[in-house]
Amino acid sequence: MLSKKVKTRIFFLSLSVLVLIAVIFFILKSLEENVVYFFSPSEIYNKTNISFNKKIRVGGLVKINSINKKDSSINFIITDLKKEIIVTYKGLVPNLFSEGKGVVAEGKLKDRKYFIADKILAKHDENYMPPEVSKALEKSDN
Amino acid sequence: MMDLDFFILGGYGQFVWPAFIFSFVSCAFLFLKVKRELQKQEQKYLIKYGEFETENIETVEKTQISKKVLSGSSI
Amino acid sequence: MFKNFFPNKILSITYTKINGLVSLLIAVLVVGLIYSLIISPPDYIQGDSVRIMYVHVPSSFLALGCFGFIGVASILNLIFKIKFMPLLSKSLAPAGCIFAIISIITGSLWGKPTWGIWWVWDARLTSMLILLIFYIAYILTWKLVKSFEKANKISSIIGIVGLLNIPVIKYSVDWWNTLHQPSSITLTSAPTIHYTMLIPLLIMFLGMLIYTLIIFLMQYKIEVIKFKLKKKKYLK
Repeated sequence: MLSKKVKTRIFFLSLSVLVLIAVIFFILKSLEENVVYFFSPSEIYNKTNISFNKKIRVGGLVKINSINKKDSSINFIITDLKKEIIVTYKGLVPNLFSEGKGVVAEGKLKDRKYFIADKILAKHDENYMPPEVSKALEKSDN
Repeated sequence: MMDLDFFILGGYGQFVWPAFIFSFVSCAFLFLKVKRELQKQEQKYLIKYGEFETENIETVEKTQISKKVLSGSSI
Repeated sequence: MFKNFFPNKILSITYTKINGLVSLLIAVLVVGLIYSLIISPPDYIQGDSVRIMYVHVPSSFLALGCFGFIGVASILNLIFKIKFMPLLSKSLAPAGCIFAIISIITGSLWGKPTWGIWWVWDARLTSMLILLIFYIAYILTWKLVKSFEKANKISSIIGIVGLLNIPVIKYSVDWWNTLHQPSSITLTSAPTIHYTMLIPLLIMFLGMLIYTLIIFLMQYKIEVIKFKLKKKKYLK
């Protein structure tokens, strides 16, 4: 049995925690644009208030056979398997940047299908395995 | 001779080693700091009370704590 | 079980017990380090940089876990006003704080070679930094606020607000697009880490858990002694 004192404490504490959760939820919801680190090509495609002179980030997979290097610039396609965006970039790419793998590009949109990046980040997934296992998996897939 | 690959780690050694060394050093630092503080406080305690009479303290503490617990709730 | 955390019990924790734990820790760490640096294979994409995971993931997990305890203890503390509760949660803060720092530093040492950048303001990294700030605020409150009752109240509030941040950290990778990859070990499905890499991860986790226990026990004894020295009326 809990005393009245303890009961009031529980009541006020849960009330303030609930209020706090609601406040945090609404803050995060209203800041969603800033909380998400990047947009997928589909999100860019469906975005209504799109700005072409603000820096944004686009993320997804590097489309297989889409990397095209000439001189110091590199072109490739970011896909989320629904929509695609062509990215052009000048400079060095991270070691882990490769076809079929995750990528986040930072820069400006020229239009909804064309993106000029000034920074390329590689995004890896949550799968970790030795090279032999990965090779064996690939073999069994084919 | 040690295998040099062990230190280079395919070029990632410059990131892997600092990560392990930093973790180890900061853990060791905290351990030594806490241990020194504990020795200091134990010294103070011994000067004041002579020894850690846990048995003696225990009974007193128990009544104290049960009083504390009970004061918060009515059983 | 719960009784073991009563302040009188901690005073009977001697150096022999702590030294025993330290020897156990050294044994586990030696095995863990051999596994994580030599025996375990490199990753198929990340190569040897994946080895940073063996310190990064356990320390992140323990940083969250320690604050989880602090948060729950803070709730119980505000509701039931149990005297030794604040001493208990206060003693978990140093280990948790150091793990939060290790998590962030090793994380950026892992981010540079894999992502290509030391730090980004994505949801996971930012919420982890907020956790570190909560730890610092919690510890500083106990250091700077002179009155025990006042420090207890303020730090409990910090503990509870900080507790709300824990699920945000945990699920940030699922709720929002982040540069940080999603969790590999979840309660609901099989881990996406190959077992040759899971073994060193678990051994290192065990080691860090023992380390946390050692620091906690020593710190708890310090807090109890300090408390008794200050308020001798609780003694006799």
